[in-house]
Amino acid sequence: MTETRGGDSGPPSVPTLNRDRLHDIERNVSREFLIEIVALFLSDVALRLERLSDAVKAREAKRTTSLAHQLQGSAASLGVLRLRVVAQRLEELAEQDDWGASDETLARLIHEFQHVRQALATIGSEPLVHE
Amino acid sequence: MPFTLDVTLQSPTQDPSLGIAPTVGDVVALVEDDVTTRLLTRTWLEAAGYKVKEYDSERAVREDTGPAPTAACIDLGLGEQSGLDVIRYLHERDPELPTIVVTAEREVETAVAAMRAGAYDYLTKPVDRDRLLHSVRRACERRRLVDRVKNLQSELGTNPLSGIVGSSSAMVELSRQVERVIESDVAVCLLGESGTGKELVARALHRGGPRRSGPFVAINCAAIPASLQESELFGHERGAFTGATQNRLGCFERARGGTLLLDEVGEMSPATQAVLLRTLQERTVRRVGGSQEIPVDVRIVCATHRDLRSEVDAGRFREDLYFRLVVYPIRLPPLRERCEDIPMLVVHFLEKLRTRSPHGVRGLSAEALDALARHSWPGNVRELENVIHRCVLACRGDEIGLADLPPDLRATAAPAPDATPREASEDLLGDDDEVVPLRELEQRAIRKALRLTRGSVGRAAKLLGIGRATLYRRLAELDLAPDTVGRIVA
Repeated sequence: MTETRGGDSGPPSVPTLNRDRLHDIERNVSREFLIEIVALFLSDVALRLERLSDAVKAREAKRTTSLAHQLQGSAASLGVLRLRVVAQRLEELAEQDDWGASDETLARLIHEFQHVRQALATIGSEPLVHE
Repeated sequence: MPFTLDVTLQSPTQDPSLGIAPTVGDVVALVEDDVTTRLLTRTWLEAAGYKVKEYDSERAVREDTGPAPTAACIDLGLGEQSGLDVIRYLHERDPELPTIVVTAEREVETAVAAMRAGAYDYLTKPVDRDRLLHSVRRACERRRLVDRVKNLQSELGTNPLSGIVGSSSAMVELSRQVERVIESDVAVCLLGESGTGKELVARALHRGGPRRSGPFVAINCAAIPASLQESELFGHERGAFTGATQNRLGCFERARGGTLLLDEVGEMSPATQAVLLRTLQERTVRRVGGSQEIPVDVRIVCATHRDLRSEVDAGRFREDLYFRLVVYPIRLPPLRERCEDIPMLVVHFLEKLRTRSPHGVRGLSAEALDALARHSWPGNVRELENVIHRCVLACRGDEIGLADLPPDLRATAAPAPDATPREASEDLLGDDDEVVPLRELEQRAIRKALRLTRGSVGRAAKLLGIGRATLYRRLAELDLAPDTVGRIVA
């Protein structure tokens, strides 16, 4: 697995991105498609994070777990590994009604998302597949 | 942000390295609420040559009233809805639909529940492209295989006319007429009394025609109340009327690409006749409560025991519909007009019932056959088949005799020239108002056992449930000789 490490928001053993996954998408479809789906992912996650923040603030366990769960699936599809792990942690904490830890984890999730944006930005400037 | 958002996605081309070749027309339903995963999965499937119908919720699936897909790929974690509900709903609509479920890694228990609910395969997130395409390909292949088996089952017998039994001139002419229109789409109307085999001929037209790989659907208009005819024929939308809890395909949509038999079309209500006429003109159906016009490509065969022309004259059947349906009428002869076919039909039914015959019935005595030929057969071939079925169950030997026939048929039989009236009747207990003395009853039972076993005392004793010596003793006491009994009765 090709890894992109960086940031301190997630477990250090988990890389930010699985570049092999992104590489496969580019190779199997096209570079243009990869760029499109990454853009879609970032805009979708930004929206989900806003809803997640509202749910955590409102201490709505069911909505928080559901949104965190969806975020995991989305991240998994593009190989955004650490964001997925942090979202999974938030889902577990909300299930346990541990809102103190949930607030901290939400902050980590938002921070990790900023890091993911930076990591994925490089995709627009350099091809993953070298001819 | 360094990348452009409004990139035009190039048309994906099929990857030849995959070795995956979906059949043209394979449609995969993709049920996924996450937009990123949905776009990725759809693109992979389309690049592999599949047509994809996307749904972001259970509601979206239920709202789609279009044709069923070849296979479905369903995310089990559909927000707060359950993907299991989607599986159940899709299987209600199409029990053979192969469904592939997608779950998170830690939801294996849910995947197991989905498999129990009838899912064909399951994948865990993140979905691997090759694994997905492999599973979808297998699902589509399975679907085609199931459809093929069904079609083969309905096509049993390579000769489409093989089920039409008879060598009489009436049946030869019938076969000729069927062959004349079998390859065309011309509207055939089968005219004949009940039980003459109208559905059999309709199936022959389907099996021998260009639509043989499609479904054959039959609907008996006489068996459906007028208020339900439209719904049965054209389907309905959920909420169209009280009790319409879900969308339902009608006969026209179920017969798409195949043949639809409208049996007893003369019993169709005037309202349904009007809708049927419009459907035949437009070649589209609109479900009850729906607004969408759904194209249908179906061969119509209709059948009736009535004189439809007279029904038109009496104002009970629309003339414009009559001309649409009765382009090529074929008359099916009643059995009484082709008595010479009875022996061949009997052999056919005995062969058909062979596995259900407890004693391996192989034939019919000359007297029994004579009785069958004398009967008027108001119920036609269906009545004959039912009689043979009853005889096979009643017969204790390997040949159906006069005594095995139902009483009304025995009554029409000519009495044996050397039999006494009592001997001609094999009913052991006599008529309802007659009490048969025990001694006489015993004699009759012994006579019958010896007749059925062709005079074999050992086998007759076994049938009677007594020892061979006892039977010899009783024969002597009753002054009966086995060979005499056999000769008189057989």
